[in-house]
Amino acid sequence: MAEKVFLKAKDVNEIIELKSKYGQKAKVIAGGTDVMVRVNTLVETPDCFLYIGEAGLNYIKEENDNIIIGAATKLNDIIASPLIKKHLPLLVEAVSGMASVAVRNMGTIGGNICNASPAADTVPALLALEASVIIVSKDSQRTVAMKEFFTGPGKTVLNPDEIVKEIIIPKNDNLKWAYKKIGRRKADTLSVISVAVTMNLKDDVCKDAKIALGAVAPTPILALNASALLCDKKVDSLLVDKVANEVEKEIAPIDDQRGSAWYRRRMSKIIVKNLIEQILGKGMK
Amino acid sequence: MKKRGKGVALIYYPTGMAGGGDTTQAFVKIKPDGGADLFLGSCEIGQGIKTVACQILSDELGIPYDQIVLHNSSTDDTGICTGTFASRVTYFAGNAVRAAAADARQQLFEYAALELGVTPSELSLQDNKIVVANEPNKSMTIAEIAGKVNWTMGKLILGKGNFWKEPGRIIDAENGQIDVITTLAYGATLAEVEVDTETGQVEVLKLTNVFDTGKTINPLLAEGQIDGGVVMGIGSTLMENANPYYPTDNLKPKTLGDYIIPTTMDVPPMQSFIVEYPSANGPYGAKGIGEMTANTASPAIANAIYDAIGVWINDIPVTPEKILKALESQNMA
Repeated sequence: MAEKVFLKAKDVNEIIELKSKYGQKAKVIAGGTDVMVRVNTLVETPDCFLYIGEAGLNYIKEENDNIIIGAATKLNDIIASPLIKKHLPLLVEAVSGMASVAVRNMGTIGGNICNASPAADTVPALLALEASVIIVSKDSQRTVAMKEFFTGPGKTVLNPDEIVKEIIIPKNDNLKWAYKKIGRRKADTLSVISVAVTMNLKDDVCKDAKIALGAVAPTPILALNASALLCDKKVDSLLVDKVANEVEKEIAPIDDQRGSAWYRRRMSKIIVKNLIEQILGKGMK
Repeated sequence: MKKRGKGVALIYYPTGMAGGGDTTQAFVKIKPDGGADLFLGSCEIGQGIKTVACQILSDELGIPYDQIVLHNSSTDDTGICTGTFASRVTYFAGNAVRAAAADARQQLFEYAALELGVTPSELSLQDNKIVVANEPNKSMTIAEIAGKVNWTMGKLILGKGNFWKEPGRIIDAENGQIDVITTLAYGATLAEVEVDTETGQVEVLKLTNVFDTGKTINPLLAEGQIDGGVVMGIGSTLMENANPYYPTDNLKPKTLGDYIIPTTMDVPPMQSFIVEYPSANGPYGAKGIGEMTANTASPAIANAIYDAIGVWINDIPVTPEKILKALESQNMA
């Protein structure tokens, strides 16, 4: 039987050193809540694990106008962070609905992103917050917007020698937001659909909006056309209906164990409508 | 829009095999130190038969619970039990243990009578002692007589007992009656739900349950049985899929992770009450409540959904899609 190699990196330099040496062969693992499920069910059989859970990538900090989260930051540390609570309550809401306490104690934000599940529950919130990821390799560093990061189910723009080091999220304390996840039960459940909406309001006018959805396309998506419809508009119920219809055109849901494409289409419209109404409250005519 | 409704379900449920013919056997050995070995083949599946059987033996023999060793790991060296099914184990095993205990007690009394110079019929059990009627000072502890039986008299006390329901498939020619069941237990659940008419999601707000144990042998276990059974009912009503699968047949669950059952987060506030309407032949009047507790949630929730939105969903699990499609056909009608 082939031996498995377990590499434990002590810092980022060592991670990228090992990644440049082993490339695709080294399966990056932090909390293991996604990786080990796939390994244990033989969906994946990597020869080598590169453990980055104790390599100094567990941090949440404020830098200029951004919040920066280390890739190996545990999901429960994000919920507990006063900094995130203050500046990114949408992310707290999204992460709180993920899995269970035990899984959130192990699972990391970088892992949730890099696993690249269409139903990754941190991602719609991060898309709506206009987050980016910092990608590093031995020879380079680049910043990629979250909306450019995914290329398909389980697929990302990461090269074999690269890892996600941190996530950068711009602070905008005036941003209005709303979030909804539908699962098949209240905990330990993958999304049937999840939607995050953010809006920048000035008086009655929506200056900017982002509508992001999970589990309704091959990757989590920003509904760009629908979002654009809201820009520089006074939002009324007619416009909201238009936006919801546009969202339905931008998604490409499938039937799976958690729900049908029919249900997802229908929910995408209803949830988007409800979330926009929730944000505008009495401000909407 | 969110709409609320209430629904009730009533149930009566037989204990043991319909038609009878099933048996459960037990035997008990009195040890020289006054403790007892209980040999019982009934399978523990979390319902608590190990605890309940030892409780009954302790009560019947005046032997402290912690001096009873239960042998329950192999059908080769225990009594036959037809099985843990049909809500039958507390009823059947309880009766078998009681009968085995009565046999062992009678033997204890016979040996104690010799020691005390009285007849066995003058003896009774009080505070873990064998005492002589009308002569309260004349007594022996179980340990004293058990030691003598084993070491001085050179005897063995082995009590045996069983409970068997005679097959009842013969119809009385005179009146057409048939005695097929051992006993009936009764129960009810009141469900309060909220249905989201846009998403089709059903939220169970509260469940109130009443179940008839006949006689509760262990209140904590009985309450746990009710809570657990009702939560299983929530699962089968709202989540669990057997063929046809949700949303389509080719997407059936492949692992237990795919097979959705309720988590603790899905359990609504529940209030459960126990009613004791004793059975004629159960141990102390006890009945079985194992299975029926899992059966009331579905009709109660389905009734509550009807009360909330005015459409019947007649097949479980009640998925959000079924709710939405039922509402659609109602609107078209």
